[in-house]
Amino acid sequence: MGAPASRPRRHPLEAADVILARVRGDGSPSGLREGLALGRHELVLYLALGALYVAIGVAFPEFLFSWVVAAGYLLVCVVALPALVRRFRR
Amino acid sequence: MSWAAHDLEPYVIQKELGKRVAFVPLLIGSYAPDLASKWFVYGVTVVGVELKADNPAQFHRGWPGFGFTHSLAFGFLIGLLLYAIWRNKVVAYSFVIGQWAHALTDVGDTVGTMLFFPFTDHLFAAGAWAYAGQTGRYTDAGAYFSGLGFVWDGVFVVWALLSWRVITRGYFRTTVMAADPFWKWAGRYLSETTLIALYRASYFYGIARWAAWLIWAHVVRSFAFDLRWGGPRWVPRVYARELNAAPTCRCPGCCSMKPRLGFYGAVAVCAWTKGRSRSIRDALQAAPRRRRRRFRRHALKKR
Repeated sequence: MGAPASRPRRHPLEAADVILARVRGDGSPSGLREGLALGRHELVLYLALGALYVAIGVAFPEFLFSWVVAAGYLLVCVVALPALVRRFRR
Repeated sequence: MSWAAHDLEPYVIQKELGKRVAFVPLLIGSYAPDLASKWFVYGVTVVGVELKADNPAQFHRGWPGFGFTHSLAFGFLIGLLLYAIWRNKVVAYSFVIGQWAHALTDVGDTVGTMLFFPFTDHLFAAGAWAYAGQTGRYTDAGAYFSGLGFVWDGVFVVWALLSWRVITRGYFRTTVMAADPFWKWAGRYLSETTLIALYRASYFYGIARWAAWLIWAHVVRSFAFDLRWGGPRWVPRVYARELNAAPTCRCPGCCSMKPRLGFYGAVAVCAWTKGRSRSIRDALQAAPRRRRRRFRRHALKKR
């Protein structure tokens, strides 16, 4: 039984370099894999909302005509509902 | 008219131009030509009274009518006006780029746009998909998503998906917010999550709407696909020649260029330009490396 293997310590500057290497000059992740790792929860949320929007739109095409309706739907589902849930959980 | 391209064009342009454009004026420019006229083309009922243009195509694209909103000069004039108000060059030419993208995209249908108004009220049309606004919005949607129109929008859907970097949080913080004064102002009142949801709204709307209309047209309503040049033959369409004053145009554009050839030429130029840009080149260069890595891992496992 040897001592538990400790993680090799990185010099703080080296760690910063690694983080910077993952982000491009325009602020976006360096690759699709990094992008997915950074925003997986958001992506799942938006995909689910997209699928629901398509389902509602196919059933009631009137829903598809207005940009304002789409933006409102997105704001309600991404901002307002999670904020309400957070408030009730407290 | 296009059903999803105008929503997605700003993101594709943003990806190509980065901090050199401001997103909000770009988006408003992309919607501007239809903002004042589209509702009257399809008609609305207010307190039991139906308001609709007698000749929707003439009203939407022609002169006299609101066709001047689809001209290059209109975008330029509004750009000058924005510059006079805000003294911000980026805001002004971002609007111009968005409006020009809209006007040039609408050249693809059978009515086309008065690109060079007020110098000429001639409608320039490639005639790839049918202009059927006069049939009402549901038939128009069915015809558009059964002809080459949905392919054209599909090109923008794929292009927008390839430009996925522009909708990331990091890109919004570093590039979009830095170039556009609107987000800095809105950031004083709204949270970052709200700003990002607003920023992504047109991307979400364009792609989801394209998918929904496609399903609606072919699963719910069974409109027949007809990918011939000019749109499905089952829909009554309006042609530019019916609205143009002169039966044949003497302008150099019409004399020297066959519309279909010009359209394919424009698509080829876009593809060539895109192929020369860094994002595709990087993806192509990275692809064999990934395959090599996978091959190495596979060989190691075998050992």
